[in-house]
Amino acid sequence: MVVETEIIPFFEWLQLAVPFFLTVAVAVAVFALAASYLICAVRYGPLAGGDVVYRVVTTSIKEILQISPRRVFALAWLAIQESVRRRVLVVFAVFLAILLFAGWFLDNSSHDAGKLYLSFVLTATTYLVLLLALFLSVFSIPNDVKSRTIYTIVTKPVRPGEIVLGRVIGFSLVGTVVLLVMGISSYIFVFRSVNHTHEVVLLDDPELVEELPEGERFRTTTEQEHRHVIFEDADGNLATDFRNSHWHPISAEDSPEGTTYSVSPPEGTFTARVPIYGKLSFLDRAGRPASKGVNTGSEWMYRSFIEGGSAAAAIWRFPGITRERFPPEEFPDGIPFEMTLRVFRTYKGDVERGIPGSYVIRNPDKPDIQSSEQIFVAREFYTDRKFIPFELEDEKGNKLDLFEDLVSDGKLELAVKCLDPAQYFGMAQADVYLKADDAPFAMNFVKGYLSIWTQMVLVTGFGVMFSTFLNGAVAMIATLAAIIMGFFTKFVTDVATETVSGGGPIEALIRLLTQKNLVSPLEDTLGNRVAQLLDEGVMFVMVRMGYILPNFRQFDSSDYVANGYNIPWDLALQNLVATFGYLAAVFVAGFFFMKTREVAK
Amino acid sequence: MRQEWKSLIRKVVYFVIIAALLVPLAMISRPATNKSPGGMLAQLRQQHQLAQANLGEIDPASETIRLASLGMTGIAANILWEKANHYKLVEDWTSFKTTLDQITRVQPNFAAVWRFQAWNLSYNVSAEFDDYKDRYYWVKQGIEYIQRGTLFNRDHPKLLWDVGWFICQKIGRADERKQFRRLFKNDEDFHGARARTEDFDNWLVGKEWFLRAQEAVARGSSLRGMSPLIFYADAPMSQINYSANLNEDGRFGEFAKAAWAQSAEEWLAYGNMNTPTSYGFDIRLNEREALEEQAQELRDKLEALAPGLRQRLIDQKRATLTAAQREALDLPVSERVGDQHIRASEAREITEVTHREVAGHIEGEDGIQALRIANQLEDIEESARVTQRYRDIVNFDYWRARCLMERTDDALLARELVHEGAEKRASGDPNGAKESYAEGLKYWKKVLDEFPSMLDDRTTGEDLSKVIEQYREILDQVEEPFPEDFPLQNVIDRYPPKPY
Amino acid sequence: MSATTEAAQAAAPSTPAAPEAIVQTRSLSKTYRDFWGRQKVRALKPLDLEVHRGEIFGLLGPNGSGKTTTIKLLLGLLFPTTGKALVFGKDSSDVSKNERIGYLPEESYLYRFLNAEETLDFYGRLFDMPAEVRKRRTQELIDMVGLNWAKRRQLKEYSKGMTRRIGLAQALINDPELIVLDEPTTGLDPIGTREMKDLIIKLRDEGKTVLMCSHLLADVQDVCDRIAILYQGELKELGRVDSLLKVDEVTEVRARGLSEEAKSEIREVIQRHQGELLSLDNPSTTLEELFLRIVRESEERPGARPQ
Repeated sequence: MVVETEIIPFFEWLQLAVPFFLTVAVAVAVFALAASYLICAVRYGPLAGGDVVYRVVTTSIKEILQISPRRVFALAWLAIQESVRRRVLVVFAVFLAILLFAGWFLDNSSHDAGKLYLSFVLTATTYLVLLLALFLSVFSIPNDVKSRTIYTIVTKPVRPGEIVLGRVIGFSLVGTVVLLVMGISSYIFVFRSVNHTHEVVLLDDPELVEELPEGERFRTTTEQEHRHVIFEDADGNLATDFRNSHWHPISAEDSPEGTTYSVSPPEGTFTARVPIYGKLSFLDRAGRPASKGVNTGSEWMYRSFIEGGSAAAAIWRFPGITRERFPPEEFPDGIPFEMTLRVFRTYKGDVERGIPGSYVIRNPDKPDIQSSEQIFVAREFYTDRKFIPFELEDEKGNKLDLFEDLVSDGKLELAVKCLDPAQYFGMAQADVYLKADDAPFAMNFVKGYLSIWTQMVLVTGFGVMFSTFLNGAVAMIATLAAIIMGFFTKFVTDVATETVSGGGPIEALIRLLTQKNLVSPLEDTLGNRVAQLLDEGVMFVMVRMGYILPNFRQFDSSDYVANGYNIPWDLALQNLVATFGYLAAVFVAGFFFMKTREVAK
Repeated sequence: MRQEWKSLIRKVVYFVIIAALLVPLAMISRPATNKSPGGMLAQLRQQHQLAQANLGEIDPASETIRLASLGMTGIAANILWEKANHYKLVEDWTSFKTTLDQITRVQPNFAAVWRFQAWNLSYNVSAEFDDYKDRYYWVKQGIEYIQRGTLFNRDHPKLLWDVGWFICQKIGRADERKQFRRLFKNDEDFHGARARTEDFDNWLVGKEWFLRAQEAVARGSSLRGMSPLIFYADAPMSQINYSANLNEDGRFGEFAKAAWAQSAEEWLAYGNMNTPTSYGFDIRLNEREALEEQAQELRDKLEALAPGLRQRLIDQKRATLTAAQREALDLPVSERVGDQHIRASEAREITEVTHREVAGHIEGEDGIQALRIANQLEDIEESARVTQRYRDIVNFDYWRARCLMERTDDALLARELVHEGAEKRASGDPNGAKESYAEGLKYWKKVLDEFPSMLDDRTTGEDLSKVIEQYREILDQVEEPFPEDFPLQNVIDRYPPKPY
Repeated sequence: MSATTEAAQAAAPSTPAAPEAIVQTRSLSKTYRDFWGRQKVRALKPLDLEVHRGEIFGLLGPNGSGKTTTIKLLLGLLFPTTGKALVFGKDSSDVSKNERIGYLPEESYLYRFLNAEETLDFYGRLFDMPAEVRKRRTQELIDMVGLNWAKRRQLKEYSKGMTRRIGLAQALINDPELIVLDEPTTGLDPIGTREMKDLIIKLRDEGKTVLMCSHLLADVQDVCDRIAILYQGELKELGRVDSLLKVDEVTEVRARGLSEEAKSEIREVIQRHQGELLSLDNPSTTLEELFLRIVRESEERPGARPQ
């Protein structure tokens, strides 16, 4: 799986995030105070203005501290009932319809059907739930103000913060229930769609049998446009080969009529691997350390390549290798690791043979101590599974014990080389990892839904905040804008920092209307210059907005679930804490907007 | 309270009815796909040919997604293309393929989309994989993709032609062609039956698709800008390529002879076809010789009417040339230097005497006849020129000669012996190899004597030169000298072996 | 005045010389500005007002005179342009003052998808009342406003009078010291009006303060102790009802059991003292009294009235 940004351990992240959050909070607070003082000074005069600001701040702090849980939950319960009356259940009907007709659009014979279905289901759920959160949250307070039911609330000892908090909690609860139902039905849907079985067919046509590789006397029927070859492993168990990202175990039953074979449901489709990532470093072709490898012409620079037949190597340093983590009883064959490499041939050579490579296990502090070279053949785009045995030999034949000789301070190095000169291997840091035992898939699925939950809560928070000072339709547009910015943050910041050519929004509009392409320069007219100047202002705001508004793609962990990798708790916790950070900010903003608002206008 | 219950019961009943109706609806309108014939409607449609006549199948999934995008299919297609490009960039092939499927659901009748993305799959994506089996898989994905396109755009000659092209060219001309062809022949899943018969050679399967494209045009579809000359050449060329490939696979004898005979037949049939040209008249590739004969007759007749007139006119014109021009004109082409080429062509232009000019100088009754002859002559000569030009485009002469040559027993033997020799050499029997090669080269001499024009073609010449080089190497191996009076010396002279 | 009032007065401790001002406004004014800051409407000109504990105070005036604006300013629904509004000594923007206030708005403005019980329970929660207290109060109030038979029905099915009643219940849920009523009798039928007025008086007798605004003069006259009359945002008159309405020069005598002789004697007495007899005949009862009597009798004896 592609991991473009490294995931920092949670507490490390916390140490960075909390000061940052506080700094931003203080900066915003100071800015807000200064701005409000200015406004009050203009309105009431400098001293009176200062007095007003002081009073508002002190009463606000008092009011925030006086928030009563009973009131908050009363308002939350009200929000829930309001949602139900507003036919929130319609979303279930839509979701059901989507699931029913999804089969027309999804191909369960595809190469990786599990990934396809999972990613579809998670995407559909995300969009639906976010839309639901949007519509629920933005109309509630404006409706109250319009129908004046807010009079009977505000004239009770209800703090403004409670109004905001109550609604956020209420709508989040509704969203949670919806998400729960969708999650369960999605789980069932995905499993049922991908599930299939084959029957075993005995090949008795001698002509056919003659051409097949040794041992292939049986094969399965074709289901979902694929069939398997059947092998017998060392223990005598029958199993199919790994095709379309799954395999089936086969059981044989002997009976008087003969042996009947039954093929079990597919395995390996739904996994949650727990990778232990290491740090990747490179050696160039002369054996000197390099920051990254060679670029063989790909536009996407996630991976870089090492040259074969030279001293070039890619070295991973893995942390946390201890006997407790990998007890030999649970890992009889050694520490498993998975490797996915790219191959680049400068000449095709023998197409029937793969490019050979080798890897050694080394001691990070004493690189002379390393195991003998283990040769392998690279299979591009396949995840190769291998093992680091606990007992190895070095080149001279001396015995090495993994934990004694090669692991140093819990760290271990794996160095990969390509053996074929003028051919290249390509890798990124996340392409080779040690595999601790798989996490249960169901738990990972839940974590994926947790990430959708955080996004929903964010949308609810923003929606309620916007609705405290805007009317329903405008609040909806503002929240929608925040969501879109959230999904396209990278693009927006790229445009704003001019990483992408084409200028800011006004310039882009001019280009659209005059049908100019992105890279040709605009004519130097006054109008264009004014437009560009305005754009600078807009882009300034855009960059700030981009950094402040939540980047939804970071909160979205559905890639992990679909690709079968465990969502690390570090990531999940980071997202949760970030969500609550945003909620705090949104709450404070909403509180002030609510407080300074004349509801009876 | 009772009122509440009643309205609730009514709602539940409605919901149940709606859900119950959805089930048969889904069953009836399930679309036909490659795997299943689809629901009742799809099958009926197929039976009664009720689909839109000039388009193809209508896929309910496609209609649904187009409806769901509320008419903004353009925007939806745009977004999907962006996504597809992104997936291609990050090498996420599963998602890429899925997105391509969605694109064609949104725009099923846009032939360019099918062609572009099928090409993407078969040529671009397949090249990303290292293992040839994976490459073949993706080539096949592209082929199946464009086949699906023909379902929705029935009788679209370009799409049908594309299927043929991919199967013939991508499988048959790739670097991995040996492996691809083997996989293709044995690909049960693709052909849908036990495939090991000759019929599933990729060239022949591709040829079927070319023929289907031709049938579509015969049924009235327009060629949509494809050149008819090249369009109709592809089916016989596939047959020729098939026959040539037999040699590579090491199959000779009667079987190969029959294949080449069929190639010759089909190529000649192609030559006899009425081919429209961009000059406004039709030609037949085969006819050039006949046209030449006719032209010569007429030229003789014209000359007879006014013997020597033409030469006189030419001499008159020559007199007007400058000295430099005359000098340049008289020099042979290879000896011209610098701007003598320009002088020469100027001179040629000035001294040109057309038939009409000649006829114009003849008086009286003869003059009228001469004029008639001259007009006819000019038409025929132009026809012949155009025919030759078109022949050159498809290399008609070469292939015709080659087909005729390859189907002779001598040629078959020559090739078989050389092949045997190569095998013997590879298995470590240089003496046996030497003998086979010597025999084979002898037959090659016979063939070249019979078909001297073959030597004009570079491919044959260079291939033969390579064979002779291999023979030389074998002689070195057995430490025998290369014969002095080597019968095929002219081949080596004409096509000296390349240094590498 | 009834016997109850006198008893209450006797039971109350010696009233202090200066009655406690529950509500105070000092130069309170409200001007609506448009977007550009220009003045649009001067809804309320600077107003100085006091409402004392234990009295029924009425704000009178035609539509648009600023009475509803004053109420909203006092409750914190609007922010004053100048001046201050103090309730229980706290600024009107202080939310904690609402603990002791009950507010019945003109149109009830309740959540229509809740039923009566749920509504009162909800508002009870907003006062942070524990569950048993809430339950008890809910039932008490529903009984008091006589909506027991409809307590499970959603408010969207209620008639106007019923919504007014449940609104009143919600205003009283926290047993407030100050009750603010905005047009309490507007739109009610005579029975409802009578009940509302009785209730207001009962509240005053319980020691609560009532501030109400209305444009129905007759109702205000029946109920209020002190009134303020507003016109076009300005205070025009302020004072006790009885003293404002007292007509000094005229003496009114109401007596029961007078014979014709007694009446003529009285006429003579007046003449003797050089007084002007304005009228000496049976007074009229109010139409309200007549109406209520008929309704009461009809409920006891249904059927057409005997001629």
